[in-house]
Amino acid sequence: MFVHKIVLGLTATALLGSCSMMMGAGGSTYTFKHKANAADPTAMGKAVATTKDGMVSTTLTLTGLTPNKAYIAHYHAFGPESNTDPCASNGPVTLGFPGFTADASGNATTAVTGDMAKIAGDQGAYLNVHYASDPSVVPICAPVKMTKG
Amino acid sequence: MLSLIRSMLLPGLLLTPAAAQTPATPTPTSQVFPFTVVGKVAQAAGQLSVRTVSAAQSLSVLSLRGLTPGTAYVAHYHALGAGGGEPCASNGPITLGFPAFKTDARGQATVSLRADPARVRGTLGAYVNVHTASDLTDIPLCAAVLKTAATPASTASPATAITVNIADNRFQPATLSVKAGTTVTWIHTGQVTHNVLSVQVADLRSPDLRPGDRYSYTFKTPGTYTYYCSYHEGMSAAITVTNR
Repeated sequence: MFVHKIVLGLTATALLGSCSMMMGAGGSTYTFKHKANAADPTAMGKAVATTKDGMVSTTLTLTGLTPNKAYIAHYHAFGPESNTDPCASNGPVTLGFPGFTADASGNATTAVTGDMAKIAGDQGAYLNVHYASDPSVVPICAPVKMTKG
Repeated sequence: MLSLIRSMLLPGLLLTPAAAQTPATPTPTSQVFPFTVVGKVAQAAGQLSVRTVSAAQSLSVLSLRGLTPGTAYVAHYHALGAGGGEPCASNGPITLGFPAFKTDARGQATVSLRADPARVRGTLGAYVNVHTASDLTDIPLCAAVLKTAATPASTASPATAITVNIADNRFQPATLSVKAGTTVTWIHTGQVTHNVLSVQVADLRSPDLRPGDRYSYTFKTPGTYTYYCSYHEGMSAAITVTNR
């Protein structure tokens, strides 16, 4: 019995850790992680996704961005360059957030509501935050689905 | 393409003293090459006129219109790029520069260049690009001088080279049908970084492309290939590859 509880606990911890996701009454929460680059080194944040009537509403709450800088953010499908690391897979954009600008403290929020089908399964594998001026600069990424397929 | 240049240059080169004394000697030849829009300025147009003046001198004249009024431009002859194919998409090195010029209040300009024809003979003068002087990666117009059908690459494949413009934020054209063996070259004519990737074909994968950059891929197998830019929503397109 004791061993069983330990196994369950370890399994739950591993799942939460690997998916950076927490399920609850408030929806699913995905944690942004910094990419291997020098952009906005203290950037972090979370995405909270809630579902209603076939629609998904996702709100990003971000900190550590460059003050007063414009950003864009997207859901991406699993791309061709990795089967196990969505943030490295370079997939196509499937749902875009409205463009936003960090405030004077580097904080920002943005939200989008879209058809669930647009980001179902591999279609919504990760969330990227890009510099609006150069979308190839991606300070942070939140994995949503860790394995392709 | 060699034949085209030769037809343009050889009469001048062969104008020996003996021939010059012959009353029936034809007047120096002139060839006209139209400019095509490769940038965002859809109304830009013009032509390159090349006239053989003598064995040692040819006169190239650019007659341009529809450019940004009162703006400085530069233009160059370019050699065919290493990959061959369609001259304007081959990204070859500059071989000869026209004098810098500025458009008038109506966006028009005429610029002339006298030079030794040997400097732009054959693949050395494959095409002429017009660049914005303040940003050489901005290329509104290109005139192909060399005929694609005579490029070395075409001897290995009957297919022709095709270009797709990468604009902000779309591929133009969005759909395309080509024969197997065709090399498609994407030319970045926009302002922000894009890329070209395909979920279906792992090696159809460009690096980040900045304004003016080019990326080529040869489609060998029939099928429909969708591709996309991983940075911009809705920026995707498709190429259908048919049997030869």
